[in-house]
Amino acid sequence: MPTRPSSATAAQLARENAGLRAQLEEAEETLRAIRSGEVDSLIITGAEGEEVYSLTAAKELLEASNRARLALLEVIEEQKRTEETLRHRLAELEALHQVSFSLRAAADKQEALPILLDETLAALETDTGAILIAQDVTGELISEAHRGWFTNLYDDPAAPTGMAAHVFRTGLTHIVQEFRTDPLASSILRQHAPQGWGGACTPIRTGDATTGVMFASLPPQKTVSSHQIRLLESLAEMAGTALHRMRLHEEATRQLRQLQSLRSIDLAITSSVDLQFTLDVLLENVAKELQADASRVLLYNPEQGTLELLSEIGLETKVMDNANVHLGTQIAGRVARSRQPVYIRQLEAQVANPDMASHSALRDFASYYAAPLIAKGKVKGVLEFLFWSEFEPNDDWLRFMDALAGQAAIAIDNAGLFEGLQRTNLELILAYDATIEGWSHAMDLRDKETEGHTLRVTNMAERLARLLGLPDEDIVHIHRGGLLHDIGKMGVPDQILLKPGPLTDDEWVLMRRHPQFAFEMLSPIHYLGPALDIPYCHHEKWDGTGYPRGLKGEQIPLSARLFAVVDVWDALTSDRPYRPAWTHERTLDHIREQSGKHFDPAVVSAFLQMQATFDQRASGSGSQDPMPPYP
Amino acid sequence: MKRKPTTKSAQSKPLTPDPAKERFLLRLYVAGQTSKSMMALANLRAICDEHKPGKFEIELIDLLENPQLARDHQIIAIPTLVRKLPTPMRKIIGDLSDTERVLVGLDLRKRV
Repeated sequence: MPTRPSSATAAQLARENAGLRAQLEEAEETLRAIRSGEVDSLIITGAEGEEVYSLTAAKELLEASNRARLALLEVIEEQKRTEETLRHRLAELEALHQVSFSLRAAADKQEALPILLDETLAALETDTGAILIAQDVTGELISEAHRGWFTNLYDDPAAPTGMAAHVFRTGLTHIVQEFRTDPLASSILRQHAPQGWGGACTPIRTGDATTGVMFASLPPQKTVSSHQIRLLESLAEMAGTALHRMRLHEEATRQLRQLQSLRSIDLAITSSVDLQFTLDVLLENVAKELQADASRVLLYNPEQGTLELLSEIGLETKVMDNANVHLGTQIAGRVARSRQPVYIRQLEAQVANPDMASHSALRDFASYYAAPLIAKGKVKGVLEFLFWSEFEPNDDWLRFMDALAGQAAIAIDNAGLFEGLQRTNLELILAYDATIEGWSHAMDLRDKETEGHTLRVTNMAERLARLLGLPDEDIVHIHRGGLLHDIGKMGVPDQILLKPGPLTDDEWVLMRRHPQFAFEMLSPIHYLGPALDIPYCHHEKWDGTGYPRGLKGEQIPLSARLFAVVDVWDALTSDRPYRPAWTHERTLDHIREQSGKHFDPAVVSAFLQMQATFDQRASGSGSQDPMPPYP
Repeated sequence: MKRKPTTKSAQSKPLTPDPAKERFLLRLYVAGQTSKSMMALANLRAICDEHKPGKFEIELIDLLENPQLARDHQIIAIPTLVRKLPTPMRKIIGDLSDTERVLVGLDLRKRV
């Protein structure tokens, strides 16, 4: 700026002034341009002369550093987010692991669900929630576990489940800002939810099917984060898998148990001919596997058209006193007549039913089910089930019940067959015995001399056999053998058998062949096999001098040994055309004398004992006449 | 950037006092091809083309190559446009993005 001379003229001053103004304007203009960013370089005059300083370079540097700082911040943020995600994932995995670990200890659904709920809520850092599971038959959502304020809500099993049902139906998680105001919440749910509580409801899925829902609720000021939703969904998914696994396990176990039940019933049917026993086994399994509190089997009696109580379990016996049911008058009768099962869910409601009036025993029960027992197209009876609490059969139950009813029908049918067979057998046996008696009677008729002999010796032989301790089944054969002991004499011609005088040697040879004849006649008859010993061997002697085979000692069957004594006793104490009857004493002496020769000493001593007992009784009665000890 | 400082005004014609016929000798000081310098040049050309083309002669001085040339007009900030003719000399500093200001600065339009 030029210095102003003191003697400046006005014109000079005016020029100077204009110059100064121009300089000022230029300075202002420069500043403005710099400020407004229109300038990117400055010329600085230094010791080295003019130098260009780039403003943009400085700015760019600054911007670059800024950008770098921002990028760094972003990286840090990203890292933080990653860490956060990792932390959540880790927490999630820990929760999953914990739940999985806890679930392993649970044996069934009832045990597993509370554990699952508690672990889930712990992972979400709350203590309020519930698990609702769709029921097998009805499909109703019922709370299986609940915590916090859900307890008040779901203690009532009839509580409405609008939101749960919605989630169940859609299969999508529903996030709740606040239960009190949520549009899906039922009025009851809104009532129970405290102010400010939000949360979520997520489906519990098994593969493609939804089996239930899980609620989790967080206190006010705690909103559900996305990672919590994720965790809830993960845990719900795991719950679904666990439930599925348990269901499969339960199903397998139940089927195994049912198979075992059927097997034990089968075993009872095949190994026992006792219907009562078989049905008892059956009913035991019924109670166990079909959850019936009481059950009974009514047997159809086709002759009287009635149902008779055959077996029952869980009922008071007094109830069953007049258990016979006339077809068509009671429910069981209706079942038998119509051949259709009857199911009554509420027996109570049936009290007015006249069918029920006489069925007072059943009134205390809640539900009733009866199935007809049909084998080979015929009604064999009715199987009834009674339940203290209301019961609704499902497919599985009906399947197993069908199997049991089928087996019961088979058991009854089998038993009927067997009883029929036994009856036939008995009839046959009776017919045989009548035949045998007929034969022996015919023998007596032919040989008038020995009339009454056969029955007498047979009875006496039986008594002696009992005295010797022979079992009943042997005595039957002694009875038959006794009756048939002289059957071989049918092969002896009349002129020899009925000859009034002594027999010639040849005649004796023929006469002594009668045991052999008996053997030949009877051995083809299988059922008389065990009875053959007496007809075949009663002429053998202890010392081996008898006939037809000359057997000795214990080679001779016991029944024949004892029969020999009795036979001789009766022959000697009877009148014969060629001699009068011997006295008892004389006969006894003879028998005693023949002990060890003709007779088995053991049998003789038993016989003597038997006769002594009889004689005492005979003298006690005042009779002096030696009477044969048989009727 | 290898542009040499140009002094195209060498063939300048004698000045005429008639403003309608007067010629404008303008000198634009830049420093390399910085964005503001390029913008100033572009803006200047646009203004010249629009207002009386042919009346203007533009010299471009690159101070990055010859910083000492700044001394001629005591240039401080770049870009700076100097109206050498007609006198008095005028300086317009900045990227010449405000056309109005440029026109006023060059005395092509009266200040408002």
